[in-house]
Amino acid sequence: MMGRDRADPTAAVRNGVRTVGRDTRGDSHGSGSMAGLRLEPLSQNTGLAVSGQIDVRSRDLWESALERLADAGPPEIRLELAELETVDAGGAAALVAAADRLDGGGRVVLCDPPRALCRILQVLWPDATGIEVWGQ
Amino acid sequence: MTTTEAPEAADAGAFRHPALFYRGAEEYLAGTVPFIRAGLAEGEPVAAAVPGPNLALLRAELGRDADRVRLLDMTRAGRNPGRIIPGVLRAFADAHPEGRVRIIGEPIWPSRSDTEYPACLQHEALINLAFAGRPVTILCPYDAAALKPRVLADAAATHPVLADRDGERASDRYAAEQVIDACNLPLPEPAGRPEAVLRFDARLMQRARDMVVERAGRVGLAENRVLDAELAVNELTGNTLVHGGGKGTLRIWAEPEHLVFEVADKGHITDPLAGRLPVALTSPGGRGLLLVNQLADLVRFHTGPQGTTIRVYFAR
Repeated sequence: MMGRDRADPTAAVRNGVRTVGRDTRGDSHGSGSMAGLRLEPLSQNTGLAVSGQIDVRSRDLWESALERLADAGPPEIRLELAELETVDAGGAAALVAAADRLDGGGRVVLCDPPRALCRILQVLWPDATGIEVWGQ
Repeated sequence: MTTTEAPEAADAGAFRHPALFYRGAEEYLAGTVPFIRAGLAEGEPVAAAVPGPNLALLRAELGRDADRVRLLDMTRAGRNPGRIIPGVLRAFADAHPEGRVRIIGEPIWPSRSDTEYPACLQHEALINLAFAGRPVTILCPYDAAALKPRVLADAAATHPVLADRDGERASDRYAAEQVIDACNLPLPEPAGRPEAVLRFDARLMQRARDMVVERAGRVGLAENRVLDAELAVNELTGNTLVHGGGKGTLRIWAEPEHLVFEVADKGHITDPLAGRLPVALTSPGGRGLLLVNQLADLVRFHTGPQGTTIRVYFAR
């Protein structure tokens, strides 16, 4: 287990699942929540603390957040996923796509991903490169 | 109707999909091993996905050549017929994009149930669409001694070429498109009353997932299969929100061999290959049904302008 990195974990979780239907994507830090998905920038690393649910309702928010991170071209995107409750195939695809966009050697690090995410990745993209799993 | 010219002399880039009717091990090997060896001699990638006993026959007959063939037990890799095109056939063909690829695919065996069979038939018909225009040969053995006459008659409708110990001929009953339409029938009502029914919308996605986990746990599905069932139903209910009018009905019931989850909504799936083709990462959708096909032991559906009903089966 690695150390937690999110700016304010309590607030992220508390605000997360209860903000169903509210869209705060416009805020200047690139974090936001919609339909039960909460994304908080990490303070120490390029990445996000993710809580709540990645599904069809929050797909756009999730995809655009990952695209923004990948476009900056960091060597590593770290995603803290211990508070992620559910994820679907489209949400997992966005992760694989983000890893694919990073230049050679770049990677997406999944910290404490839920079993659901690992299972989807294993079934649909067993050969995906640039995805690293920590924790569990 | 006999094809006299060598297949290579026909369209070199064309898809070929012969059915092989065999009776006994000797005919099986006579129909498959030369096909495999010819491919190996040409340097073509060769795979065979067939039931375990036939896999053992092939392995023994091929000897050291078996190491050069990708061998899969179809009763595992192709348990769900909806998984065979994306998970077995296209997976192998797409991994070898240069030149012709040869595959032996045996998706139907005598113990396939009446519930599974329509999905098998549909799969055989859809292969013709999934590989149209690609330099791939898929040879499908049929156990003519053990399968019902109806199954062999269906094979003549889903395969443009038929082969047996007397040679190859064009099928004069080939009609894949009609078979695809004929497979799209209303599903029979479950024998007993469903154990759980939920009319859901966006606010009840979590409740739907909880119901799946609860029922799957109650009938004793293994823990990893409980997760698979939850993921599969989650994709179906998600599709309802996006493509199915936003509201649907989840029903769950147990059958002797399976736990069945059904999602019905007002959507209409117009692409017969939905959920059966690999999806590019840049593509906006299409992965949900693909995941469902990969996870479930069987998928049946009925779709039309009036709505779509999809059932996913998990072995108990």
